[in-house]
Order: sequence, then structure tokens, then C-alpha cells
Amino acid sequence: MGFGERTVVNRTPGDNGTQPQAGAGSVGRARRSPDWLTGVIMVAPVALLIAVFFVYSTYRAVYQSTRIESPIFKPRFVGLQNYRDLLDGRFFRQASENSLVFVFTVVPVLLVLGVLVALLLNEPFRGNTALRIGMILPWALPAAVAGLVWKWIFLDSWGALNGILGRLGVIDAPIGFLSQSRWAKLAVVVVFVWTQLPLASIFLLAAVQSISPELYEAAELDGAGALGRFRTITLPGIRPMLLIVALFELLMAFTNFDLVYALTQGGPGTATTLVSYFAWAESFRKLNFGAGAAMAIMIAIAALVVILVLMRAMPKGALVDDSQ
Amino acid sequence: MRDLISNRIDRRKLLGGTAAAMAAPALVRAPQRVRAQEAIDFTIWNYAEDIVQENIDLFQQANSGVTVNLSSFAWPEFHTTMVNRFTSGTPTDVTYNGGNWLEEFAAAGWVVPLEDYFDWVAGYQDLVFPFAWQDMTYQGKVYGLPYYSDIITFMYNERILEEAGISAPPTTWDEVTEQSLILKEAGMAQPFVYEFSNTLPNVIEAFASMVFGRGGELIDEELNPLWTDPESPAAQQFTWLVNAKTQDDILTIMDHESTIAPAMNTGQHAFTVMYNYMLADLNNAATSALAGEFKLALMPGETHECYGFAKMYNMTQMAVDRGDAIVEASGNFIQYFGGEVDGTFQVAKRWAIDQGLGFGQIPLTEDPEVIEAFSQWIDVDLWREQLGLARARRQAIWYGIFAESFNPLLGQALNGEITAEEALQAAGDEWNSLKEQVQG
Repeated sequence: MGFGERTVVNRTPGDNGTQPQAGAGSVGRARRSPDWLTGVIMVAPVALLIAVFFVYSTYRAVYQSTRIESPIFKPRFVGLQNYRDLLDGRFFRQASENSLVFVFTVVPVLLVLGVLVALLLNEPFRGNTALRIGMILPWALPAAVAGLVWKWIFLDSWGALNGILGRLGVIDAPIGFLSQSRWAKLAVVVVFVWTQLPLASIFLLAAVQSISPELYEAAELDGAGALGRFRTITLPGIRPMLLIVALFELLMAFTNFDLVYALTQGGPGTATTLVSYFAWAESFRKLNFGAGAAMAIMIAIAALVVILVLMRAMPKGALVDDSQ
Repeated sequence: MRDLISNRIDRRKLLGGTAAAMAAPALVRAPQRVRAQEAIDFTIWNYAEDIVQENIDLFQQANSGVTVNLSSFAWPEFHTTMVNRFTSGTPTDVTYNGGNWLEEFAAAGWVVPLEDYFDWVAGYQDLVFPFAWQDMTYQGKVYGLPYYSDIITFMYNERILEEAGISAPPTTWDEVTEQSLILKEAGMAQPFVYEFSNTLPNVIEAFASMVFGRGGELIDEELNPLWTDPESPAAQQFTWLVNAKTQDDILTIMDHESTIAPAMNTGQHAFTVMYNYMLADLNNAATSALAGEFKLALMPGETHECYGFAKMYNMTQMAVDRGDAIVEASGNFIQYFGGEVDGTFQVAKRWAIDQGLGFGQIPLTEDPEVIEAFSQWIDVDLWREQLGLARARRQAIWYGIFAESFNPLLGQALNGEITAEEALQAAGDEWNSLKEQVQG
């Protein structure tokens, strides 16, 4: 009997796979040794690879973050100096502020728009299927390509958007979409949402479609309006997926690099320099690999903290779909 | 030729250079034929790769024993790409390089002095503009031959100025401001378009050219920064740029020459400072609706000097490590591309005629075909005058890395996040920190 077969044998109707069933233990114990060994053998290569890559890369990053590591400077141990320099540096503070504002702007926007789009796509109308297929395209585009495409739209003097607004008589002079701070920040938010909205919407659509239609029929019979049905049925039904999407997009936003690189290169000034872009620039443009490693570690810790805080802030059982 | 008479390139030197070119076969050893089949790896930044490949094909036809593998990388990423190639030992035998990175690459031992391997190198000194030769030299040894050598110049739209009642281009930076305000009053949003991005390597070069126009320098002979003195030409020019953007609102930023050209070609700006070859692009009737309107003016400032440089072909230590055959093949390749073959600087000449690229080889200033081609898009006499006022920049090993901090600081000041004074002070601190790390 193979490892997978045992899992099937032990399942009973109603078993959610998380609790051992009465009697299963004795069956399993009888064959525990060979099954356990098979399992270990099958999992070991992957576990080993993960351990090696995670442990070694983490060790290497921590080690490197305590050193001056640069092709043109003499390598040497500097302790926590790289961390101190970063925390004292004006660019790091600016990048951190930018990242916080960016993350806590795009994630709520994506959730709200994602739900709206999911609800729209859940309605039957002509062209629904084509729209579902078409809207996934922005997500399929690499962020760097999306950045370049939008750059040509946002360019100051002869970008498409300024051209259209000018022809419509809305503006007299080109708007500095990429050369003025507040516009450039908005441009990065718009393009990021544009690239991420399809995936968020598809995930949320799947969640919406998993809600039993009978619940809506019952609510309608009870006199619930559209808003009431959304509040009492839809929202609780998609809550686990909303949290998953929120976490995913939070991480995507926090580590967003290629879009900024292609669209603004962190400018104007440092208006759109996010921490991930800053870490890249520190490592690969200033060739300061020690500081870049320190930065990467701080990003990882910050992301971990944010995720843990969010997980703790969630209501108990929030990730369990209890709508049905 | 009289226009070239200056304190940097005098008539005698030019005549001497031309005469030397005529006697080139005696001075410069002809490229040797390589006997066995050898493959050399050649790295460039992404400019006109099709023409580079055609030139490689011609070289391979003339040197049947050599195969050249071409690799091209984005210009903004070229410095870091090459550093990573060298540190990882990725095969590279011949590479493009710039004077701003030569010291770093040479000090690290990644590129080698050509004159240590080829006796024909010295013969080129009198044939190359002094600023270009200086840009290819590190610790008294020359490391390359010019791929192209150019100047960064001030360009303007003559028609736009005339229509605004301005009879002559600005000669000082104050006049640039005055004329820009006149144009702004007449309805032009930002008359001066400035090529800038956080990652563009030539930002600091263009800045140097503007500082040179004021008669200044960026660093002194002991490699100390001069911009920390508010009265220095460097600080004044930095402040001019910041004020033009944040106070006078006469300057707008675009991140690359390829986006500036369409903006200029649609008449939205009157002034810019760019690589001189961009004037050929702006005045190209095939691509520009306003071709013929764009003119060169001497760099504004008290001395009208400008930044001259050489982008060059370097041979690497990796080529040396591969043995004599590769060294010989690399030498032949460099001489074919940057030197004189069969009495002409054929590759440099082609770049000049086809693309408007500048050149370091003095004899080409007298080549009738080159002059004919240049006269289509530039006032040749004025160009020669500006060329005569060009000079190279003092260099330091950490210049390439310093530029990665300078650009964001200038960007922050242009964006109004910090003052010009704060940016200059921070740039000075960064420079001194790098200097200390390198020199100990």
C-alpha cells in the first residue's frame, strides 16, 4: 500500500482530513513502519532541497549583511554597521514611508474593486465569458512590460493620456504624470492595481460562485434586499478568500520591484522608491551587497511581522469557510 | 581648421595629426592575420546592434580565423552588468567601456593596458583628440581605442527663438533662464527639457559638461569634491537646475534621449543638453518634422568649455589569461574597430556618417565624406569650435558608484524633496565616504 492510498483508506464521509478517525489508528499502526519510511523517503528530497536553499540562503544573507561586500572595496566584517547606516540613511526612511503608503493604498483598493468585479462577472450577461478571458490579460503581462506600456501612456509631453486630455480640451498643458511626485505615486498605484486586479477578481469570483444559490433564494423570500444579501451572505461567504487575497496582495505590493523599475525608476526624486527597489539599487547599482543583504533581511522581517499581525487580528476561524 | 585653434587642440597638432594619419602605415602596425580559429567574446551596450554586427561580419571576412560572439546589454544597466560579469568570471575578451568606469575596471584588474601588449598603440596618440586620449588613460597607460568620442552640447530650436523675438541663443545660464521665461510667457510650458533618471549613467556627464561651460570642475586634483563650496561653478549649476525646475518652472524632466527627441520634434521645448549626436537625430528629415530647426550653441557659461569623452574598446584580463592567440585576435579586433585599417578609420567613419556619432580620431575632421555628412545637421565650424573647447573629466575609481547616489540626490532636489544645498552636502558626504573606503 502506498502513502497516498493510506490517506484515502483513512477518510470517511464527513471527515475533513484534519482529525484522525476512531479505528484508523490501529489500522495505521499495523503498517506504520513501512508507510512511515515510504513517506519519509518520498518527502525527504524536497524537504532537503527546501532546507538547503532556505537555511543556506538565509545564513548567507545574514553573513553578508554583516560585511562590506563590494567588488571595488576590500571585504571586511562590520557587524551591524550596514543596518545602522540604512536606518540612519535618508533614502531608507523615504523608501519605507513610500512602501507603507503604497501597500496600504493598493490592498484596500484591490479588495474593493476585486469584489465589485467578481460580483459583476457573476451576473449572467452577453459577453461575460469573453470579458472573463480578456480581463486576465493584464495579469498575464510581466510587470516590466506593463510598466513600459503605461509609461508611454503617462509620458509628459507626448504620452497618450496627455494627448487625449489635450485634444478633449480638458488640459491646456501636459500633466507631469511621471515627473510630479503625487501624480507619479498615483501612476504606480494605478498600474499595480491594473496588473493585480484580474487575479484578485478571479479568486473572489471563485469564492462568490461557491456560495449556494439556495441561501440567496431563502434570503429573498425573507425580504432581504441586494445590500442585505451582500452583507449577510456574500461577504461572510467570501471572507476566507478576501483574507487570502489581502495577504497575497500585501506581499506582492511589499516586494514590488519590476513595475517601479520599468515605470519610474523610483523617481521623480525618490517619490516612488519602494523598499524592494531600494534594496535592488543598493545591491546591484551601488554594488553594496552587504547593505543590500541587510535591507533584504529587514524587508523579510517586516513582511513577516505584518503577516503575523494580520493573522492575529483576524477573527478566530476566519480562514474557515463557514458560509455553507 | 582654424576654428580648432585653442589652448587644447592647436593648429600644429591637428596638422601633425593629419600628417601622421597619412604616414600611418609606418607608425601603426597592420592587423595581423590570426592563424587558428579563435572565438572572442565581445560585450556592448545596446546601440545600433545591427550595425555592430555588420562590422563584425566584415571583420570576420577579413580575419577568417576569428569568430566574434556579440552580447548586448541595456545602457542604464551596463556598468553593473559588466561588474557582475567580471566578478563572476563570465567570458569577456573585448568590451565597450567609458572613461567614467575605466579607473574602476582597471584598478580591479578587469581590463588591461593595450600598450602593454601591442606596440602599435603608441602610434595613435597623435591621431586622437587629447580629451579622448586622456579619457582612455589610467595611471599613464592607455587602455583602449575609441569606439566613438563625442561632446555633450547645448542645443536649441532656432525657429522657436526667432518667433519669440530672440535673435541669438543664450551664452550664459542666466540668459537661458531669461529666454526660457520669455518663451514661457509666450505659451511654452517648460522650454528646457532635461535628460534625467535615477539610473541614467550620463546624468553626471551632462552635469559635468554644464559645469565646464562655467569654467568649473567637479573634483580637484586631490580628488576632493568641489561642489560643497556654494560659490563653485558646480554648486551654481546644480542650483540653477533645481531652481529652473522648482522655482521658475522652466525645466521638465524626461528619462532618456529617445523620449526627448519626439518632444523636441513636436516643438514642445526649445532647449536641451545632450550627447552631440542627438543633433543629427533631431535634424534627420526622415524622422523629425522640425528637421533643420535645431542648432548647436556653445555651452552657456563664462568659458563655453564642454565635456569631451571617449567610449572605447578595452581588452580584458580574461583575454590575456586565455593566451597569446586570443590576445592577438583581440588586438586585431580592437585595431580594426577603433584604429586604422588600409589607411582609413573605417568603423569610426561609418559611425560618424551613418549615425552622426562623434569620433576621437583627428584625421576624420578633415575627411570630406564626414564633413559632408555632418554639414547636413550641424554648423561644422561651430562644432569644431566647441570640440576645441572640450576637455575630459578628472576621474576616480569610485565615480561609477558615486553616480548611483548623485542621481537620486539630484532627483530629490529637482523634485523639491530637499534643497539644493542639502543635496550638495549629502553628495559631498557620499563622495568622501567612498573615497575613504577605497583609499583607507
